Amino acid sequence: MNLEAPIPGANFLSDTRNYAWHRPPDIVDYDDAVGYLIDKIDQPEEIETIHAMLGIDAHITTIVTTILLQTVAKGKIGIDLAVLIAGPLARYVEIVAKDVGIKYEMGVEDKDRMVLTPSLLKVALGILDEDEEVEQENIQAPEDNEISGGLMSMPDQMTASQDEQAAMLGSAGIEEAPEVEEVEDDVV
Amino acid sequence: MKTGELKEDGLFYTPEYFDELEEELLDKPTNSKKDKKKELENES
Repeated sequence: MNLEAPIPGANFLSDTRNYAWHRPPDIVDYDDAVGYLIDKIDQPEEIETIHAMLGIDAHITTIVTTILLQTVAKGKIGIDLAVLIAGPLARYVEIVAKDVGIKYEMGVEDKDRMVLTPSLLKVALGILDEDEEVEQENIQAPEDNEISGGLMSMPDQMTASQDEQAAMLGSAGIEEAPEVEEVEDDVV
Repeated sequence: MKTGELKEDGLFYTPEYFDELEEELLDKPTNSKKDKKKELENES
């Protein structure tokens, strides 16, 4: 039994102003916030970090999220304002990337997204009509070479080869020791 | 309603500001104006 737990209602009496984001933020104006962060990004240390992150193919959304989280944690801006200025900041980081000539990705678009069509939805739900069954055949099936599962998925080949099974059982692979030639006692 | 109309003096960091900044830095027109025209066409 844990007797050190807080009593019910203790949260109403505790001082929650110890964290920066519990106090009113320093900046509440849109232009002030964007200006503050653009100035911060333009500082040599910060711009080096951004260039390095873009160099390792980090998305611009990731970079902006990191910057905004740090700023909110310091109590400079509130979370609502951080959401509002995320777009303009991403645009500024994009301009910085273009200016330096670094290839970048915004991280908003999903390249692997499958476009959902009515026929595809019918196939998924199994309510395909007979007339549309022909169309179903035209839907591209996943290639055989494509990896279908994750790390823990069942492998395609379940049975091991005879040699492999024997090796696992310990009955094979024990090679007979080469016969050691008897050394004649010629040593004088 | 445009976002810039919500503030009396208007916003400073508008999409147009960033377009101009990009044009100044890169010395070539930005693509975002074309995207904006497409958006307006689609709306109408």
